[in-house]
Amino acid sequence: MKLIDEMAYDLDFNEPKIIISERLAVIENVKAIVMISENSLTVQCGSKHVTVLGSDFVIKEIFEGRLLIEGKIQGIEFFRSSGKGKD
Amino acid sequence: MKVKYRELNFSAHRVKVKIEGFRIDRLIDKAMKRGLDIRNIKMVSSIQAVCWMTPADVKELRKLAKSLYKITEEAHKGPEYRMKKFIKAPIKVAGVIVVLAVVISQSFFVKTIEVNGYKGIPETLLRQCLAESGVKEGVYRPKIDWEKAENHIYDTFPQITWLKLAYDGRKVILNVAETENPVSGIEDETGGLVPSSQSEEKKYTNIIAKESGYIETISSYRGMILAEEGDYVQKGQVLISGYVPIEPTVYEENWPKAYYVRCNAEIWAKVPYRLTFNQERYLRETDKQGKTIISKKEKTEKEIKAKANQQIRQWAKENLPEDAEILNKDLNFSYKENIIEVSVTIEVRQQIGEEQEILIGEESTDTSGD
Repeated sequence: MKLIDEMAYDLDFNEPKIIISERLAVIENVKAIVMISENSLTVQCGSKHVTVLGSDFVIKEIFEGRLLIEGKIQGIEFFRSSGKGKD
Repeated sequence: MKVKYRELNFSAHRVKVKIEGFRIDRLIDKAMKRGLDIRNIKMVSSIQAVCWMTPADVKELRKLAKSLYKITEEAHKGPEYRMKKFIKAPIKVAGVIVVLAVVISQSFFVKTIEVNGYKGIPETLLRQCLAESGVKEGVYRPKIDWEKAENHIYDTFPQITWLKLAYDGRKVILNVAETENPVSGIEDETGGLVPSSQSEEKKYTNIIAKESGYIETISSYRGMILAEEGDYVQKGQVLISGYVPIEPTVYEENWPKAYYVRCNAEIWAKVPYRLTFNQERYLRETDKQGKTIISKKEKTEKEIKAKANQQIRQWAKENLPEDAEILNKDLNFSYKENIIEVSVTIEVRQQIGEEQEILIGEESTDTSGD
């Protein structure tokens, strides 16, 4: 990846940025919380919706568009906000 | 809502909140957009969630929730909350103040005394000497006269060449240094000591009996006791010795065999006195012309006793110390031609200790005893 591309990616606040491991997920650029349940969490990150699937979720922190989830993470899904289908 | 010191506020006081209602995610979304600090959100069921917030944020959340959600505070945590709760309990505050006052006041009292550097002088004597100057366990430290205590030790133990009296917290530390050979000349087996010029500077004393009598109590503050309670002691007998032998606990060639002290003791004894007084046998009368003449009327026994008692009191005033106490007296009368001889035996309780200086000599060259 070129430097300019990398910078463009970093400065794009309309796209979800996710750091994820088996027990932890950090989602940045969260604009809104769409749905929370015990086994899934859906958030809107600008032009995309992101759903984290799993169990025993605890939202450790929500602050300034940054969301930190702890729990058993089993999957992650991206949706277009326009509702045209899965990526 | 942006707040300064966000982390600190949250740690200082946080509230566990239970949110009940439909579509809790909407409320959380609103709270997030408002900037409320919500942490550890856990969905208990589809209509119930628990989370942690600051008290200020809980108020904001209640405003956002309106009547659509039920917000319940379940628990409070954090040092700020504990402190507020603690201050609201005056008994606890009073208890803490009392404990602090006790701890602080205790720090002004001496707890232990440490004595270092002594060789010939036993530790007990040094401690006793300190106690006499007011330095002992439990005394109020600011009231100790350190200079007086140091001078008292120097006066009591002339063999001390240097000393340091200091305190560290509740501990008083006494460091002493003695002369290398403070008791030269005492190894003479014959006991004969040659006076030296040194002895003039250092005054060591025995305590001797200034009267013969039966010892009632004997307590020595310094020196070795040589008599026991109940003993009959003669006038001039040594009761407390200023020459105290040492039994060394460690082997060292130059370790002193004994040391000298200036004795300090209190010795009470019952001292018998036998006295004889004379008094006129006949009463004196005044005749018609105003002259005093001796009548032929003999004194009654009561009058004789009264006069004898007066004579005893006079004698006691002149011969006995102020603290002496007459315990018993026995009077016997014998009638002579014109006088009555009164034999008095009295038992007096008095202090009989008297200091007698010890002359410390130089070491005898004749060690064979010949």
